[in-house]
Amino acid sequence: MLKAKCMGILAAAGMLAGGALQAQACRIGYLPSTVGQALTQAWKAGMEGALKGKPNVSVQTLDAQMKAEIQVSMMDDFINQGYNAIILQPIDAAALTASVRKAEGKGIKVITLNTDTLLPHAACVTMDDSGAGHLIAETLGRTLNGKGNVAIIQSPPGAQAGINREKGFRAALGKLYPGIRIVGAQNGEWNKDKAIEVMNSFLQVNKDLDGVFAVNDNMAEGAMIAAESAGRLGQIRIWGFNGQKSTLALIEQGKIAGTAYTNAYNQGATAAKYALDLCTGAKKEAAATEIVTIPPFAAMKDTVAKIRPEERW
Amino acid sequence: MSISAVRRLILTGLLIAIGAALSFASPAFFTVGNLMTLLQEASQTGIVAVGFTLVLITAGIDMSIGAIIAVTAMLCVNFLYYTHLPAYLFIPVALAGGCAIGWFNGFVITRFKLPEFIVTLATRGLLTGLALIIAVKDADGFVKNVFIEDPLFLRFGGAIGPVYFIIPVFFALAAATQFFLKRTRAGTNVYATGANPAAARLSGINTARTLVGVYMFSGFCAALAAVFLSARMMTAMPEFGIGSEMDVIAAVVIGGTPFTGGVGDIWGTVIGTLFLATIKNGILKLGLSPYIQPIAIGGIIVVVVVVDVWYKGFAEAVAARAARQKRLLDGEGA
Amino acid sequence: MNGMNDDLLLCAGIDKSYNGPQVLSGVDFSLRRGEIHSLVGENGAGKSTLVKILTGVTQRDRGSMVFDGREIPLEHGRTAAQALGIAVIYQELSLIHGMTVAQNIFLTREPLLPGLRLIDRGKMNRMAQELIDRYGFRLRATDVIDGLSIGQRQTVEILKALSGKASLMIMDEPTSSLTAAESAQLFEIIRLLKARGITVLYISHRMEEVYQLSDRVTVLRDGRKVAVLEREQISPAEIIRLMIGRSLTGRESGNRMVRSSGEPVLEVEGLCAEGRLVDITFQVRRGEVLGFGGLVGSGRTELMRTIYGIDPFQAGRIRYLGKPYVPSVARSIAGGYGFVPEERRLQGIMGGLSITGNIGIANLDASSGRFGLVSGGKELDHARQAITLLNVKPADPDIPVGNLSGGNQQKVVVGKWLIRDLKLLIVDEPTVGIDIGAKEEMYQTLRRLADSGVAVIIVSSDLAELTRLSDRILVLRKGRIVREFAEGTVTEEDVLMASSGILQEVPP
Repeated sequence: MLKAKCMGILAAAGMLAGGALQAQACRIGYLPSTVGQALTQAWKAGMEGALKGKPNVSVQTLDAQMKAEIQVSMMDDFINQGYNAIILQPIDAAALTASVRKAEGKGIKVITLNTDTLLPHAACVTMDDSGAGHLIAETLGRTLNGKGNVAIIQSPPGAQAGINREKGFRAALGKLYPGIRIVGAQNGEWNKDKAIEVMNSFLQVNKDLDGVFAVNDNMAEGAMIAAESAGRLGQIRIWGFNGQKSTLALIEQGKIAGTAYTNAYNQGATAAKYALDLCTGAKKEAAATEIVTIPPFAAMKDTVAKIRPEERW
Repeated sequence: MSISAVRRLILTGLLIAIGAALSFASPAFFTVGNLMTLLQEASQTGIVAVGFTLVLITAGIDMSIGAIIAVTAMLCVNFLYYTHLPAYLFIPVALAGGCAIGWFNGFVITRFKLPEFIVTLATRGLLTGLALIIAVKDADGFVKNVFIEDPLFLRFGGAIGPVYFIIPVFFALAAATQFFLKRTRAGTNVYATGANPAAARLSGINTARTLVGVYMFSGFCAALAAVFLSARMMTAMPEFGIGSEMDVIAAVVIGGTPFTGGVGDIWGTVIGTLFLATIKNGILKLGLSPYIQPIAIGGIIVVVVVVDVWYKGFAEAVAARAARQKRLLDGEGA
Repeated sequence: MNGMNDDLLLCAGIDKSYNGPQVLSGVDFSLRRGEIHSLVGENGAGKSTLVKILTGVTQRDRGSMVFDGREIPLEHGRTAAQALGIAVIYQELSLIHGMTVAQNIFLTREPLLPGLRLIDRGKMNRMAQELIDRYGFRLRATDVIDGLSIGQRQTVEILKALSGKASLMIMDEPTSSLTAAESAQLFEIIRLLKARGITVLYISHRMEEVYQLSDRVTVLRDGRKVAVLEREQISPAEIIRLMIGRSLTGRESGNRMVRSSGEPVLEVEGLCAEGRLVDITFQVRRGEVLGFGGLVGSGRTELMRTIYGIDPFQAGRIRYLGKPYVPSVARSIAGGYGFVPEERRLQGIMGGLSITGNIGIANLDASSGRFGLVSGGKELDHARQAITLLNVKPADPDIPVGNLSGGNQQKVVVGKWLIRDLKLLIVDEPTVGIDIGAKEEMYQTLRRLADSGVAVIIVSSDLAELTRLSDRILVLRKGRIVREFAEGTVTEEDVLMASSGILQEVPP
């Protein structure tokens, strides 16, 4: 009898200890496409905010330098070192699928940001790419009164997030504003310098350009610079995507028409909370990927003031 | 022992030393998982480097290897995606593609007597565009990188036990190529063509055929690496391999094959590849920024090249002095 | 005349021209089996062309060739020549660095392992060592070529030919980079080859070698066969006479040597440069033209480069304008001491630049003003001066020099120096590659230069030119001055004899 009681106490103690151990050390790996962008830094800030004060949680960041091969390699690194959760912004959906599967196979919870991969994993916290693209098209079409020439500055081939934004945009225009012509679409590589080049060529080819949709804010800023140098900024409505601080400021100055603002801090925090909950067992992983969509907000000159300073990233 | 053997020995010693140092500095380094990853990375670069070594021995250069990787990866993935044929057919298709591109390079270089750098650079441009054209596109015409679930393909990118499949393939390729270089007539012809093409021709070697063969082999190796890369990532992207030339060149140069041609061997390349992979892996394990990697590699290349050049001058001076002594002993003759 | 089956090679009526002047006309040439046969003639007599025809590098226009009883067609090419067993020993051209002796000997013919396509290294080394030992050379089959001396490499070349069953070995100036001991070794090898029935065709300028080795000698002159001498008839003097054999007109029958009475501009004493020059002592005076003669490789250009400051020397003293002088190019230029090099295309002109540019670059100090800015006007003046002085045609300072004729290019090179206050000018091969008319002009220019007080040193392989231009001639041989012609008359023969070591003289 005594032996059983002792065993019971020991077992309970062991379970508590084990449980306590389990409640400890949650190592989270953060692997964005590149560390140097405002968006990915905002996510990180959001994550750190959400995890502040939580015991035994650490976040390690690795930089994939915009190359899928490197990102796969770094996933391997996280997997080998036995991380508990990975927050990943896949550079390409297909290329990272195998890595995500491998990680999940080893019990590592993978939460993706913005771009999802092709096989089920823990969760995906994303902006509403398609929906926001739709929204932008509606707003732009309205301001142009349903007529005009519009150009698109695209993302690199295979970048699903950018592709979805563009698809939403085109679908909406096609349906609602058939009078608006899309006169050009070129890859801006997600960055400002390339977008300047692309915009310059658009300006040269099209003497009448009324609007430009760049699928991220960096490229929108680049387009703005090019239009300003050519002296045609006044006639062109430029829209971006993401809602980073610098772009919001330009919207206030009237240089950029608008952007689809997403609270990236929020997005990062959400992802981090999911990671932590899945880690500690507070949440359970489902058979299919849980998709969490952060609703967008169309920030234009008259609405941008609604975004508070602490929400700007 | 010849200079190259000594050099290899020193390099191996350095490799072991650095490996040991890293093991102490970072507990995560010396684990089976990490070492396997390191070897996998090394093999990925190493397979291309084997082909590149031959090119360098002929005093040439192949700037198109990155683009060949992209195109042949696209080729094999598209093949699987569109036809759903069994995977064991796709490997020969991709490899044949690599050989064909290599043949094209070699043909243009030898037929029109153009510099290797320019020709392979041009091919690179052509292929980069081609990769984008043949990439799988979705309904709206956007490039959509497809995910392949073929089990054989998976095996290629996977492991036997803890050892990734690519690793023994790399070492087997290296051994076979080394054997070829040192023990066959064709291999000797490669060295001769690189050391002194005029003399080689005078001795009856068909230098044009040798060069075409070498570039074909380089294309083959790139294609083989592409197969493994796309198997590991279960897809192919048009950007594959672009930028990988630097790592390949670094591995071969550190391993002791100079750009001047006529000298070099595969063992040096293998050690150079391992060395490079260790440095890159080590930098990450030490928690340093990955941007330090290219700086470190660049620095090592500079040191290696300077030492090589200095040593060459030193050896020549010693030889010249010995020759002069001999002349004096033999009697004056000017 | 011996029976037909003793002749390995019979050539009759060989003609060859390279789009213009006839290089070989109606040459008859024969080689007996197992003989050592020398082919001699001045530069340009046609020796190398004949060799090229034999080895298939180029093809004859007309004439018959019978080798080993077989008719050789006009299209006879390199592979055919090799198959017949005709081998040429080049200096270093066909050895692969980084490989061993054995590898080089057996290149493309390496012995293979039975059944496999793999090289049998052991067998290759054994076979090579066997060959080496058979001829008694001091080489190891596993030696790497890079570590061998030139003489040893030449031996490897010979072995390579032997392993390929050569029946005719052609050697073109084989001793020019060898030490005396290595040359002696080579002669031994040649005699050995003869003993084994291999025919050796030996081409050389060095009379004593020809005299030592040859069973027969063929003399070529101006593209024709002038004589074939049997052993008993061979004497260096006779050969030289046949080589030069110009009908001598009064003017060329000899030139007067004149001792100048001007002050010495350059004095060289006991100059030694390792491996190149031995104990050179001479002077050149104001207003005199001092000519240097000698065979190729005797050290003439090396001497010029050393006294100008391009190459270093280990012993000796130099005085310039009476003061001790350590030659350096910059100092020489600044001190009015100029050098017109032998290969003007490589070292004298910048073909892409205009005449003004070329002359300007050499005279930047004269045409720049304050703050080092170059005055375009001054440069143009200099160019115009040079053009007028030397009669450069076309007389346009802006023409790229690369487009001028050889003669005019040479004038530009000389012209670079005229602007300066010249005291001493060295001209290495003043009229190489220049046509007759331009040659005359150059001679007059140099003469005028000397008459105006400049000391002129010329180096020339053209004996007629040398004897005509020079007031005094020094002959070099193997890095030493062996003869000075300072008075009386001198003929081309005299110079050639001295260059070949036949007319030696106890220095005064």
